[in-house]
Amino acid sequence: MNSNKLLITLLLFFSLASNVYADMVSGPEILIIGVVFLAILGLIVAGIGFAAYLILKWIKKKYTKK
Amino acid sequence: MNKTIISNLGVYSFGHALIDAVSAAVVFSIGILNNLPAQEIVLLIITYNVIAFSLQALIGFAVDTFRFPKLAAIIGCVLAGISTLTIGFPWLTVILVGLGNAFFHVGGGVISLNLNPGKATFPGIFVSTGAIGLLIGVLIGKSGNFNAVPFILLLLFLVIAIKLVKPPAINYEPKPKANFNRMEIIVVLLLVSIAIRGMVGTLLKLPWKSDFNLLLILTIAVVLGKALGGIFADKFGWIKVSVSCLLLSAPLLFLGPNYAILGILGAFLFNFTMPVTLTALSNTLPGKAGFAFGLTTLALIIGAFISYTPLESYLSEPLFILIIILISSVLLFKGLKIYLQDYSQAWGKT
Repeated sequence: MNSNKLLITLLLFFSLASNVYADMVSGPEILIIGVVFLAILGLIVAGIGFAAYLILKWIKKKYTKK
Repeated sequence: MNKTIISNLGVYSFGHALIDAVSAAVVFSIGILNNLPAQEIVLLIITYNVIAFSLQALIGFAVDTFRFPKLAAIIGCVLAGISTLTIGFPWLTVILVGLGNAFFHVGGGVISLNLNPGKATFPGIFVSTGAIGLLIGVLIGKSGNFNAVPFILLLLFLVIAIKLVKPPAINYEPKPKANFNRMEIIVVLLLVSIAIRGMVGTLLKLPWKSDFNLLLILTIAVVLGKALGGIFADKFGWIKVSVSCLLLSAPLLFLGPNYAILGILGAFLFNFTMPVTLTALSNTLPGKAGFAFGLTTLALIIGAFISYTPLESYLSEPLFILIIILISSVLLFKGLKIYLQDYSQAWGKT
């Protein structure tokens, strides 16, 4: 899987995760805040996941050189 | 076991229970003490989980690069201690306690993985105590009787103990005999298997947990599963113990929601894999124990995120749990098989 595919997969997963508030709250304003908030959290996790993937690639390159 | 192992294992395992107890107590107290609405409490808990779990990969990489596991554990204690004093500011508290938890886990994780390099016994004991700390913390937090003083005193004691204990020699270099050609395949297989474990952990509904005695027995089963998992795996073989226990746990957890005894036994066996996946991942990335530890928690939070989606109600069906545990067993088997082929020369037969 290349870098872009991985990032898109992670982003899709977390955009789905951001729907959580549909089940939890009643007011539309809170719903929007919750969805946006969880989307941001999801993006943070996706971003860290992507950074971890790049670090892994770097480690592999470094180790296989030796 | 020599003095270094006993002292480090004792201090960091106690520390793990304490840090998890402080974190849970603080996070669960915030809502009650500040009279927050339910939805804000949910967001605070999710934010805490995201900070505490996902950041460990990056903190771990920094710890490996700049070589400061002991300092990371102390930073974790200090941040967690400060968080007990800021409960009036919920979001600041959640960030502080999440960061504190992440720093301590990485520091303690690196130390435990280097007590007997390549073996799962000591990392298993280190990770096992978290569940009991979590239970104590949740009970304190939900009671609404949070008091920062005992926690701060215990954290102070922990910092002094960490300062006094001599850490083991820590390996920061790759193993010369290891074959890194299939490294990413092993990492992906193990991480997906861990993510499924995180998913099952959050999706599995055990209604009888509302009975305190059963909840306590379940927690003890989880602690014993993680601790004994590493010991048995090192003694009898990683694949034999971890894959067979995971397979056995599948039908038990399928029936677990209706029969407490089966659920407890299932949870006990289900946790046997934990020290094995952690140590195998760390061995696959030799010299990067902190990063490897962080990858496991990142996989856990990605797996757990599914429980925040509307899909949660469908996926928490026991049949789905059964199927994904079986899938996880296959992935674990394959991952460990490749690991043993490529790394057993570097780490010895496991």
